[in-house]
Amino acid sequence: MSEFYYTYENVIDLCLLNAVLAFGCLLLLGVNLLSLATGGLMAVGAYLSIWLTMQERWPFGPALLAATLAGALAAAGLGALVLRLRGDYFAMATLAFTEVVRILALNWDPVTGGALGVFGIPKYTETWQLLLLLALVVYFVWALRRSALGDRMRAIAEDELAVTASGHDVARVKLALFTASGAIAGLGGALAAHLNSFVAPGDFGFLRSMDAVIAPVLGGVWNLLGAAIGAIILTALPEVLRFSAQLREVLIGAVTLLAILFLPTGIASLPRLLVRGRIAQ
Amino acid sequence: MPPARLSRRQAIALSAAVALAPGTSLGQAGAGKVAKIGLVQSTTGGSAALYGTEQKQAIELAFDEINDARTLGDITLRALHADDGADRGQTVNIFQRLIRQDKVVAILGPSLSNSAFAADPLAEQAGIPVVASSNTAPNLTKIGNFIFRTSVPEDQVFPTVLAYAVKKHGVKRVALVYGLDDALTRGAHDVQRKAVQDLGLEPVGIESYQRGDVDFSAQLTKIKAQKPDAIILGALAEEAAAILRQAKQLGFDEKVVFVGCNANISAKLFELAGPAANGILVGAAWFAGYDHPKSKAFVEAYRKRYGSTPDIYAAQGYDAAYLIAEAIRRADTVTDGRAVRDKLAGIQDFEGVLGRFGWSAERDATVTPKVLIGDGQAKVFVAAPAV
Repeated sequence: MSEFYYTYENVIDLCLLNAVLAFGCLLLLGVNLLSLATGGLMAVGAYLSIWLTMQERWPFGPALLAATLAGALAAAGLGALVLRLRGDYFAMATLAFTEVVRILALNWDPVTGGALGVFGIPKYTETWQLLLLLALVVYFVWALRRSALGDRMRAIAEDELAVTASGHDVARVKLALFTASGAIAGLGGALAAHLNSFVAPGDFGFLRSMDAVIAPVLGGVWNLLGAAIGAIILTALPEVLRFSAQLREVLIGAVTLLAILFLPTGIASLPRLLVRGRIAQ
Repeated sequence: MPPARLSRRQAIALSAAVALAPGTSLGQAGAGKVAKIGLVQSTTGGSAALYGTEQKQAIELAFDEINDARTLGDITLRALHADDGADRGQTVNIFQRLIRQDKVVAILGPSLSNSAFAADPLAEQAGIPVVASSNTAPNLTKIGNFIFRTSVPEDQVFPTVLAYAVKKHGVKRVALVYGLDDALTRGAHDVQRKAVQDLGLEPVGIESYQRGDVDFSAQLTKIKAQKPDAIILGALAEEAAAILRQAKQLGFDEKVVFVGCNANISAKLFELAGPAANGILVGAAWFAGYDHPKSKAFVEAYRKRYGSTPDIYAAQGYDAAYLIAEAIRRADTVTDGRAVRDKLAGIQDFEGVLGRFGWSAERDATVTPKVLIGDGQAKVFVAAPAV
């Protein structure tokens, strides 16, 4: 086991990190919000934490806290502006935010290093931190789903108008969730920045935001661990398929497509389906 | 609904089969000692795959030549290739596996500078030498003592080219155009601006664009009004081609000299710019027509095996392969990365495809830069006439 960890430490770290980010998006998918702001919010956390640890000589802990708060604040501000938008418009507005942050990062050389990026970032992120964070996030989502707020979230997902009509403040619930997801993204960004000693503006773009949304969809939105399973599959698949050389990209696409086509409730529902199938026989 | 369940199961079976397949590992080579060398080059993942593949092919060619000639006595070189898909996270994953599981004695790669910034520190810590052959970002070798490169960074080439333009064409006023959001063009621009300063030239305009832009007429019109003697491009080949063509359409003075960067040395430039690419000056560590016995032999061998003309990255990869082989021969070990690193750093008399070869104090290649000029008719770069 320890040998396996030693060899695949970075793969494991990336799986955990992407799982945490996927949960940030899962919170929002629970109330029918498809957010592409993950990349931008991560960038806020990442660059703040890099600046604090490298220029201001802060220890890692307070820098992480600052990144979390900055992510939450940025999300609250963005949410106040764009949460009234619906469906595609909301997705586009959040994508615009990610793009704006990326372009700012490209031009703000003293802090971000421009297109050349920042290198020589001290590696502070440890596997246990990511594991602990993932456990906390899973617990948070679990507790949230069992709470009254969780009931309200499910109701909003089913029929937003009815919830509003019965006197609940839907906008406030959404803003709270968006802020929480921003905090997760900000923290995730800071942890990502201190994982691989290098960061460039391209890291926090459209693709990063898309991955964070695809993971819970692939894994299953209604299963508690679906987001984590989806993220792990998306991260580990390129490693597992490396032997296939040029075919790799095709295979990754095919596996994802097959899962979505044949497992509409996510890969996390697979064991249950198998059990049911065996009983039916 | 039996049919649905069946196809679901097929899907599962397929993914299971796919997941299990890589468990079969490569067999061990025969007698003698085997030096395992990580070959981390992108063969998928957009444009990086183009020069990643060139390097991979050239390095494999070099290893086969060395093994066939038994240059290293009883040591056989074995390349363990892994494709990082031009994704930095994967590069780190690969470095970790190569160093910790496969126990390689050296690594050749990775294809992208960004990947190198993330992955090279792992090798540095583990004491495994890394030789890059396409990383040109500034400060790369500052990662540490184990990081080398045969790719000649812009700052070793460009000043020579600009000095040539000044001598030959009496350039005094220059304008600079560059891509703002690309590490390669941004890095080139920084070098170009410094060279302009060092030579005491007058920069009359600095214009930028973003990746994906196809219309440069606004920038060029502004520049034209300043009447520069030369226009310096920090642009990728596609963009440089568009700039050259549009400058011609806007009726720039024939005497205005265009000076490009490393990224412009590409057949694409001529395909896209046509005759407008005539006369563009670039600097390079190597070009396919380089008149040097080693270089000629390499071009011939590469053409014979792969049916295409090698590019500069292939040449740099080929030299990297021979350098690491020479270091392993001198160190006479297939496990001790530190010994190989020390012998590698000691090589100062190497005669490679790029010409006479040595390391700077920063472990960058020191090669005489060649000034090249675009020939729009023959669609190639040729050595520029002496001043």
